[in-house]
Amino acid sequence: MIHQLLNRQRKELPSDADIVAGLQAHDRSVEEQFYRSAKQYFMTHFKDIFFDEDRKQEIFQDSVLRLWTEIEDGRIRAAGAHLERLQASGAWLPMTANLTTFLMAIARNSYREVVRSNKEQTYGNIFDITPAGGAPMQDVDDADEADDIRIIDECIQEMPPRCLEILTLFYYEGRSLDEIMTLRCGKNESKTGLKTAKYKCMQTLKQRVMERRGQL
Amino acid sequence: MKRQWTEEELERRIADRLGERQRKLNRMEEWERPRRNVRLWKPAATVLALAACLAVAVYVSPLSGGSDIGADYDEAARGTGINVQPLLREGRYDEALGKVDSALRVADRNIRELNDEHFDDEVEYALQSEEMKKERLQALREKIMQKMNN
Repeated sequence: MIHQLLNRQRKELPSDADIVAGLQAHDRSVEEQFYRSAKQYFMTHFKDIFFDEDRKQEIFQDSVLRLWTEIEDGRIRAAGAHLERLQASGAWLPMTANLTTFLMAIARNSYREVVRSNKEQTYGNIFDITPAGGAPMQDVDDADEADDIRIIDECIQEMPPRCLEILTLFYYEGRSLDEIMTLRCGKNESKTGLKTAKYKCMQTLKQRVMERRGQL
Repeated sequence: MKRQWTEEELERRIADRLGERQRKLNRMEEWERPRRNVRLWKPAATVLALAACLAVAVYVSPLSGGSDIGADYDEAARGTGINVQPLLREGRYDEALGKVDSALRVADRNIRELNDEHFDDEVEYALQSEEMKKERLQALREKIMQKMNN
């Protein structure tokens, strides 16, 4: 009975290729379906790993965000019924994992970052076969808008959460330093400290983007 | 060769992508909300069930009888960086609480200072360790408070 129900549920779910196409077309219903099915899977399989619910939710959303951005930026694409992922060398290689498994790998990696198990490998090389001696991305990418977006998104994802929080509040939401001090509930000792942190975070992010664009 | 960006253009593009990221986060929050409202009974039922289990656990636990609290407090104090177990075993809860509060203040100060530091791997690691220590201290504090109120 349970198997029948699961099979019926599976049949109703879109394929990975449909999800990728839907996310790239900014289809809101696919976005929501993607999120909900990922959540269901995550909560079932990662039930006992985390020691608090807030952290579990944070890691889940961060992982969805990474995968969603990667798909939307065109670093993962559908090739028939299969998926391919863009390598640092600029080559497209078939993904050996489905989207859900890939998402779980991202989450595992985030979790390992949290507990600082430094010896673990990153999710980027768990499922993909990267050819040895691949050229840096800027050597092979065309100078088009999509590549620039990809580069900025990648650099953003590599920044620490507190930097992203400060930068988003200041540059996107246009909050003042005083407002950010309040919103961050005293996480910064002083306004000067916050100002310095904001400046250094932005400088680092800019530098990384420029390096990858070959502008430095 | 890519077209060179000015500082302002680069900043604007970064702000755009930060905005896109925030919009996705906001949408995820939206998707979480209806479920929370519609199924309000479910978490409420879970909380009630947990409370009932906790009450039973406290009732039958050696903690309630005060006979063997050592292992429990050792576990609670793990990772906090302070040694309050002897005080707890002797029932000197006020002193233990004072020690925990003092450690919490130090953790808070360290977190604030680290947040103002230029970030690098070392600072991030220290910050996360400190935040985890603070979480554990808060859990230990709650445990002591519960014991004092019983």
